[in-house]
Amino acid sequence: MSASSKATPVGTVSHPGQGRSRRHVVLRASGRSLKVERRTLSVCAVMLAVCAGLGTAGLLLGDYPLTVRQVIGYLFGDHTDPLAGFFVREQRLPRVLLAVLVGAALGVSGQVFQSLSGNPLGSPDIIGFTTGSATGAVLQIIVFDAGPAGAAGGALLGGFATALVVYLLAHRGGVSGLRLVLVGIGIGLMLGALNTLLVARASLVAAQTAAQWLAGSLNATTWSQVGLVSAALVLLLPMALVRGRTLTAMTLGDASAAALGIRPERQRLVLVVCGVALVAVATAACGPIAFIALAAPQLARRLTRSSGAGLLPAALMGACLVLGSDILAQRLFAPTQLAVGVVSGTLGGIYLIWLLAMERSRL
Amino acid sequence: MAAASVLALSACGGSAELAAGGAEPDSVGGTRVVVDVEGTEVEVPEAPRRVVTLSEPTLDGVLALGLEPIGTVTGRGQATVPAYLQDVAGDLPVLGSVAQPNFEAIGAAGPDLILVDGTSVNNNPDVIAALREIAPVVYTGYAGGDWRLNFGLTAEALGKEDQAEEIIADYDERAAAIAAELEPEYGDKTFSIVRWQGGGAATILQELPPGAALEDLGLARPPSQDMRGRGHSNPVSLENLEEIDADYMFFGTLGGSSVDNPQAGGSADVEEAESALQTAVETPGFSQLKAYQEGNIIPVDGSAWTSTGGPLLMTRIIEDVREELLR
Repeated sequence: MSASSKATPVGTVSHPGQGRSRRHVVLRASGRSLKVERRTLSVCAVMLAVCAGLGTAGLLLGDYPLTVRQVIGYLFGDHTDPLAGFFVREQRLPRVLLAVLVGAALGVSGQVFQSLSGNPLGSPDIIGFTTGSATGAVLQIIVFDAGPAGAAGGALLGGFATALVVYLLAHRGGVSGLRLVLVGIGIGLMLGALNTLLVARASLVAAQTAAQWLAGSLNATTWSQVGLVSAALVLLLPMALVRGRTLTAMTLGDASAAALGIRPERQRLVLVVCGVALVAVATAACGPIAFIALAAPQLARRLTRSSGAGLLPAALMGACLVLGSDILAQRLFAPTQLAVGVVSGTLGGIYLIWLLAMERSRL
Repeated sequence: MAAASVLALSACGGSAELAAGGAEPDSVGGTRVVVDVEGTEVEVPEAPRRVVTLSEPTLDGVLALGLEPIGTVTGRGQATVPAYLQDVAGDLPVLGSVAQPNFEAIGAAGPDLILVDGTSVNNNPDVIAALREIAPVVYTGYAGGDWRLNFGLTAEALGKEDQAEEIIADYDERAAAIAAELEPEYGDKTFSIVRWQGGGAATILQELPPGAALEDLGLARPPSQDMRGRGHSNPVSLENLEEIDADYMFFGTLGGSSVDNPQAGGSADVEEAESALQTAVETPGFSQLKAYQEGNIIPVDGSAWTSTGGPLLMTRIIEDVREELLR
């Protein structure tokens, strides 16, 4: 917490002098004002630009040879070659958009849980929520012979059920971060084993479908998927984002948060539900994409050098990471395609090792 | 290409819809309707010329019928086309992996027919829908289904049913001949098919092509493999290693590639099986197996013996058996 000296003291917003400090800017709109660290603002701007850049690359790169001018033409309804139009409008564009949406959802979900647990490892992919979503989907695929839609429903249910179990088991007069992480890792490992068992014991067809789903892929993304995920995020993201300050205050401990006029238990419940829903929706859309929820919030925090729970930076970082991973997944061994979860898992694995080494040297 | 499309359009009004589908190639003539295994009516060219195969059985089938696909996907567990087809199909353009076809690469190749089955794309309507934007897609069979039916539909899509019947008849005749030769010496023996991968064993049950081939040859399986399981290889826990045992063991490996790691490389050929066998022998209990003690473990090409395919694969397996057992 050595960074706290640099952090925005949340709750002291009313100090008139602070708003004019060089480190902050105050954004005002319709009678509300929001004080933001200058650095956070510029980091967000840069990430937005990177995201736009990667999105453009995602639209331009592909094995169907098209020039930049052609891609732009087909984006805006050129019909000379219907197949090119199909690839640009029905494959590349929804794929890029879904990557952004899913990345943002994972980033925010990761930030919510890491802040609530006060532990960098308290991220939904480490504490079993992602695995639990996967269990739900795999059960659907294998036991009920479900297609993509059924698997998505299973993932939603699985995510919520797992979160409930982990919270109940970790609850002992309040949920301590470390307990949550340890219980979550345990449950996650058990569910991971269950997933493997289900696949091993399934029929060939179902096992294959499940294995492909488990890899986490954006291949064959459709507009209906984009639509469903956007609808969920339109609801969930604002719900989380407006609680950014609350979340930061809660990282100071419940007593301090209560002193600032926050009702910690109630806010925590809303944030937890929001966080679980975000990770479950993301997983439902394209399978488990590893490590984004873990790495995005932390990378964002390192860039903004803020100790607060910056949800927007985490969302943007998540979007950049998933988009970047997916482009790598498509291009690295083209024309052979990797699943995006494989690339993000590899990158995230390297990050996790580094993180563990850092944590260890701190202890 | 635009000019070609216009020509194709004017040449055959009947296939206007196909021509509108994009890279309409130079197949001449009208179209036929094929009902694929899922019951979908698919309008295919009279004589498809530019065929893309997205699974091992369809690649095998097309090659067996004397056509060369314009593109295919990597074999299961491998970073290239299936090892057993390497000499005939090694130079074919790879348009993705068995689990993740690359739509754009397929579109760029400009096929007039796409053949796929449940061994590569299954229960994923989105993938099939995307492929149907590119060219007519015939879904030729389910995973673990009868290779003859799969091959039959492949042939029907190509308009080569007669030739397919001949190929199947030739195979049956050959299998019967080898079976008769094997009977006196091996009629009372049992034969196990094992895939060794990642430090563990899996057995190949009866409905996969290699299981079917042994059945055609009249070779008996040990009790643990003498069943129609869930359609795929059956993982065997190391403490139950005796389940893989039999009088004879065909032993293959499938390299290291998987959905998670399609580029892991490793190969599936006989040499690889021999080196996998050296690892397997280190496993506690392996050297107690009867097949090992009697020197009856036969390293085989895992891409043929422990995966899936069509008539070329079936022929390869029965010839492997003849060569190994009737030398």
